[in-house]
Amino acid sequence: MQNFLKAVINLFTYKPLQRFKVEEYSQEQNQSFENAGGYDGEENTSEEIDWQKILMQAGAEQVQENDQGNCGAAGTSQQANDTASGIGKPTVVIKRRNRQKKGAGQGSQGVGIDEGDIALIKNGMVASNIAANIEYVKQRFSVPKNQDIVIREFNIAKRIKAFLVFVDGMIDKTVINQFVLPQLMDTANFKDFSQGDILGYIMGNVISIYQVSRIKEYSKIIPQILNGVTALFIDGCNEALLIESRGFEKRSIEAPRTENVIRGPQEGFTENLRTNLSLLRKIIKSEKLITEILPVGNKNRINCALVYLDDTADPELVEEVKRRIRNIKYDFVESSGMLEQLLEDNPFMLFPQVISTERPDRAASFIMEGQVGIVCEGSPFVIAVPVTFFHLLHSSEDTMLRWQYGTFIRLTRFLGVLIASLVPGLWMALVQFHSEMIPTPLLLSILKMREAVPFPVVVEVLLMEVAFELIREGGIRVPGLIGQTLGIIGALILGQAAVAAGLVSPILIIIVAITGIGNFVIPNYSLAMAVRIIRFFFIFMGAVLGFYGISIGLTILLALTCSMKSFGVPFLAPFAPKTRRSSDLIVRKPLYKQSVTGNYLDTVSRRSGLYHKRGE
Amino acid sequence: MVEQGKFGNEEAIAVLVIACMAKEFFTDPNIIVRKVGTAGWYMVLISAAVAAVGFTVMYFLLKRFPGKNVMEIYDAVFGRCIGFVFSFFLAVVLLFSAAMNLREYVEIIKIYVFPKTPPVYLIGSLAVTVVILSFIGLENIARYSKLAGCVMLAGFIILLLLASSFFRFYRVYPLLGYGLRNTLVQGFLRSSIYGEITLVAIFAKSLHRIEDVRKVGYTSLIIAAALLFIMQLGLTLIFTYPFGKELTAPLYAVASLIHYGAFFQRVESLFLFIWNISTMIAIPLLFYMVLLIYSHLFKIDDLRPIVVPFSVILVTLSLIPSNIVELVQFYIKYLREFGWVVFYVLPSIALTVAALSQKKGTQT
Repeated sequence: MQNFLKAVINLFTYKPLQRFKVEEYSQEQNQSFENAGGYDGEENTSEEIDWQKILMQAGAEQVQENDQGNCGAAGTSQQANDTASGIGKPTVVIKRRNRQKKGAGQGSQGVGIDEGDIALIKNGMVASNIAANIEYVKQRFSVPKNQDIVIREFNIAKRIKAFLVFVDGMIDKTVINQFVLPQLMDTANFKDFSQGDILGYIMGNVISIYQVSRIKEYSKIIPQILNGVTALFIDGCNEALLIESRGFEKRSIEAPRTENVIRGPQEGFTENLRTNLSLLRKIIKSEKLITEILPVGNKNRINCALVYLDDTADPELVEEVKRRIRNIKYDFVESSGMLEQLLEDNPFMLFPQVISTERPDRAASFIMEGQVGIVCEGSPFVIAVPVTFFHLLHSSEDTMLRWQYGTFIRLTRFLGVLIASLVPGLWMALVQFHSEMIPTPLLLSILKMREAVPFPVVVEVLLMEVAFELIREGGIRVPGLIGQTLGIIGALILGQAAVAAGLVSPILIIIVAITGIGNFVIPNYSLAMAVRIIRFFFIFMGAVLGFYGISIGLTILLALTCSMKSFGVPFLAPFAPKTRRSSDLIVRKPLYKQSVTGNYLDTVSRRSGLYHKRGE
Repeated sequence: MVEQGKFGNEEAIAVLVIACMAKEFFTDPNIIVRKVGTAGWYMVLISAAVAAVGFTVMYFLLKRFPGKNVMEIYDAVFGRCIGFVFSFFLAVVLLFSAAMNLREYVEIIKIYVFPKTPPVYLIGSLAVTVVILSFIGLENIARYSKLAGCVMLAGFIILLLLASSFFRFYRVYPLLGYGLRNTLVQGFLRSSIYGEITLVAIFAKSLHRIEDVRKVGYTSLIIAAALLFIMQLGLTLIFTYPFGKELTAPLYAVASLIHYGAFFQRVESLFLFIWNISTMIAIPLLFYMVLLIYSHLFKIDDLRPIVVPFSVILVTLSLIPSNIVELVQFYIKYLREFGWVVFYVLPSIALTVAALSQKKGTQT
């Protein structure tokens, strides 16, 4: 009678919607899961959810609830028998309620669910009512339309309703089949459980998985499920248990495809974030190596990991990288290539402002020098920031070789950059404006060869350069050996045929060829692309104004390059501006003499990086 | 208040030395030979001594008002109106100097490289460079100067070394040229060839401390004087002075003399890069200084809106001389011989007035 009166009073009493304070409700989270799953703490929870439907559907079912609310499977009035083994009698008391009856006086909305649960689920928290949770999860994942989301309902110890949620194909089925479901369903595992916190009991005594945590907020649970973690919801508990079960198909570690070295390790990154992080950890065995995982992309929410040395990397740099990643407002970030474009300082500059590598040893050396590595899920390339021009000219082989060889290779590369960017332009200028510079016998030879060519020099140069670009692009797109063959055959036949047809002069073939080879010497693909474009700029300037035009081009290009910055570090540091420099820029010294890292990275301890002072 | 950015002493030294040297690559050595004969090589040292006195005055003025640039100091010493006139006068002279240097450069490369090209085409392309560099800002111009300065210095030394086979030491006689008195007077009058050193007072805020101004000023002066001394001595040793008077651009003529065998000859076009790039640093620097002064005078916070209009004025001014003779014998002559009034006399007046009126700045 008393309950009936309360129900009637409740019915006619206006109660404003209870706003739930998330910060009060949330409790300490398992750090490992935050890292693993990519929770950023800034999840957008404005999902379009049909609350009416959830509450209606949930209310139509029989719901089990515990009296004590927060995972309290308590009650002393009734003890369940262990029917399977007969050994123990778990004191799980489940008070069944007929939600139809309870909700009789509460109108159509929220039938059978108390207001606390409604408030919880509306605020994106796990409700105690399992039916509400199931409906909520189904709504979020569009089940049954979405067919690779698995919701497995079962009874814990034959009494407590529960369900598992996971994404088919992203989990290791063995984990679920052997270490989760059998143990939860086995009544013997609950013989010692009498009352209290069932989630705590399961974590401590039932599930033998290395990484398990309890979370209340759906905003944290859903991304974890999408990452391959399995979520366990139990009736009467307003928390879910996240069980580490990730196990998707991945490529094995192979040799890098774009950064081949003769000496040095032959391992390359893969598309798997975990594998890539482990490759880095394998090289840098330091407790100061920090890995922070942040989700990127408004809709696809891929994970990217920030990897840095805590006692070396500039803390302001780390914060800046995190700030930029968090502020990315882009729906679909596919891999590190897109992330790179969204992170860089100035998108209109030609030179790359981050460096990417597919070699773990190189990424590790960047991190050791105080740079921040960004490992992106789904990409075999790791980004490192900040970057200077000299980083882009280095290769991991430089330090593997003796200093004399390393220096020689670097000088060759530097020469390659100059040749690749300037030679066609200089040739244009020389032939068109400054032919007096060419020695007379050579000039006569050139004139003789050009006699049959009907085009002006600029057309001739552009014709060959464009043909070369086409061959190169075709060679990359055509798969495997055919691509290489296309490149060689194309270059040989096209060049020979062009000369024979009198379209170009033979000397131009040499110019285009050494320009191409100079470009291949550049170890960084992005820098090589930039140089390919710059070459056309200098051809134009040389054709229009000769050496004067090339001087203008150089001035504009270098002044702009001086103004470039990568995460606050000038691109031409430590030369312009001058800072204390590492002896590992162009000319290398013996390793024991490479005393300190350059201070342009503003590392915390400038001697804590890769190189230690002699005697330290 | 325009944000100029900060840069180091090396960058500042590089940009000032290049600004001093760029104009000396063209007709100036010829004029010096005309004025003092074979005494040009030490006349530049006399000019440097006068410039050192002028810069010392400027330095004391800056030291008296720490943390201020020369325009702010003029305002503080003379008040807004007279300070405005002083600063405006400086801006006009710098703009005119930039325009005349631009025209001189264009006339020289037109003679040697682009005989059929209309000057406005060459002036226009350089003006575009000036505009772009002004947008990029002083900090990056200075950084680029340092980067290019090292290469240019190496090129300059290689040029003189390659030409050393033409040195004849008897050509240095008569040592006193047209007379010691004449050399001293001309040395004093042409002290404005180092006038660009005092530009450090305009961008003093870009340097870190007042001691840096001193270091930058004196070091730039010493380097520029040493380079001019070597250049003028080399030219004196290569060309007899009657012949040297006939050359429009003696340094270019030196480069064209170089030949080592049949293959290595006529390499003057390669040395064009030194002159091109030094001019492409010097003119934007002068132009940027004008923008800085103008923005101070009219309290403009952002330079970008005035860059293009000023570049139009620059191009227009550079087209005033009808030919190279008029340019050299009138405009450049007076700029060189009376430039010291602006570079050294105005700061001296300001320092005197500040001392008499006991005006001083406070360290901020």
